[in-house]
Amino acid sequence: MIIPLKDGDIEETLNKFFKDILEKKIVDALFIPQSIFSGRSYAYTLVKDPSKIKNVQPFLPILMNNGAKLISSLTFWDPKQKIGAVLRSCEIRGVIELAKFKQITLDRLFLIGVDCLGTMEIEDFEKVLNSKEGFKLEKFLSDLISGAPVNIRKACQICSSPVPQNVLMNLGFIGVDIKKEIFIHTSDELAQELGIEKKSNPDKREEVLSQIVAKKKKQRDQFLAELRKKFKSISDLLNEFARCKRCYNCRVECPICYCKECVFLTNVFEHRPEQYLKWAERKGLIKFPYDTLLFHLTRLNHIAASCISCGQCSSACPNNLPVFELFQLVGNDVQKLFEYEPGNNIDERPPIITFKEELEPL
Amino acid sequence: MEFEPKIIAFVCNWCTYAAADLAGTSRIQYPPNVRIIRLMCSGAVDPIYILKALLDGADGVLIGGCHPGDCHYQNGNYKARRRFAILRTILRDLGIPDERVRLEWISASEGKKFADTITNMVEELKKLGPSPFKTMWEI
Repeated sequence: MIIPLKDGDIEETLNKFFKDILEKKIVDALFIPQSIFSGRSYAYTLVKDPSKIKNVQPFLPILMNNGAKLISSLTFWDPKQKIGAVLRSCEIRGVIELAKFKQITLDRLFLIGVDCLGTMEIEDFEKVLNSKEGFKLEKFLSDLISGAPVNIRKACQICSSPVPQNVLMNLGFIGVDIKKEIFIHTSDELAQELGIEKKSNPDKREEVLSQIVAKKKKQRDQFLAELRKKFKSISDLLNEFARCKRCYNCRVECPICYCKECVFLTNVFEHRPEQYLKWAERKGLIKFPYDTLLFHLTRLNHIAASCISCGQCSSACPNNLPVFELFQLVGNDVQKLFEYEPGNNIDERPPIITFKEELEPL
Repeated sequence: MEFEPKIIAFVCNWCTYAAADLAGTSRIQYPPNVRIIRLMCSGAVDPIYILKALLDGADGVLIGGCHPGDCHYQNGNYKARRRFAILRTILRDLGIPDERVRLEWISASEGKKFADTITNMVEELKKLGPSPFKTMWEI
């Protein structure tokens, strides 16, 4: 089905659409990204009053947070209201994965997925905003579809799921004329309630999608092959990771890293001076801050099987460590070992919280 | 002087620890390269313990648990097996040989198996040489 654009204005059409969803009580509250009045930045908002929907930006190519983590604070306890959440594919995968870890309850969530072909690092987005031409959403989206060079995040370059699964409604721009319409997929009852004309899906969508997915899958394979060459030994890893300053930003931003009390924030890692000196004596010298590689390898043990490849870890790193690359490489192997696809099937239990009695792969 | 590897062994109270005890009381000889740390279950071995031991320069790490089906707490060793599989995949990706970290099922009556495991592990580690982490300060 499609929604025709009102006066060719994608932003106005989306504003009206989401206002409708709130006004018609399809959801009681709406969790949606909106741009700040200047248009220079955006944030997730939780909207109760339909008149406060003014600048919704579900397609804006920046991802300040992985929304899954924010949804967790909204649904960890029963919110007692129906919450509509407008999220991208990687965020929806995060929601599903966190639901399996009992950090999100899906009962009151109405998931609305949006097409996403990539988001930019904040610095890169700023550059475009400050350039002479400025940022034009339509141009950006059509460039992404046509494959014109766009500076998107590494995680997005190799992401082969532009369309979210496990959602009740999909909004999209792939395979439609963005100057005229938006794609929507939902149940017939909801379409009727929202006054969307029942029409068959645009025929081009599937075709365009499969081309994009095939291309991205190829890019991912290439990326993994390069990584395997890059991280052959532990010294290769240290070349990059020795500059970690242990700020824990990657841990904070990772949607899967949900422990309320992380072992690295406890006094287990507050060593006595004589302990540091003993270690220094053994090796002749040690690096400060200490335990940085231990931190990354431990996180890898905890997360690898459930890593949903959103790349927020690398985006959050102030020292430009290839955290995403490491997790992608190792995560891919661990997930293959257990034939597990994180964020996909809600009934499948994550490998780390379950076991089998019969012989398992080692 | 010949290189003598240092092995840290995380062993289960109910089986491998008793096996080590049995090896001693039965006067079975095995190399003195192992430092045993007793835990209540192999399922209590957090990967962080193994990694810490490795990064701080242990040449090898052994995890000893009850045979599948024999866990004192029903399923601790099954959980240990999963965690070990994940850890091993990670270590392989980073080029750390399998011989450095081993998971063995050794029951309370298998004093001989405990001694043989340590003997074999020491041999393998001598062939591999000292752990590279011993001298790496960049970690």
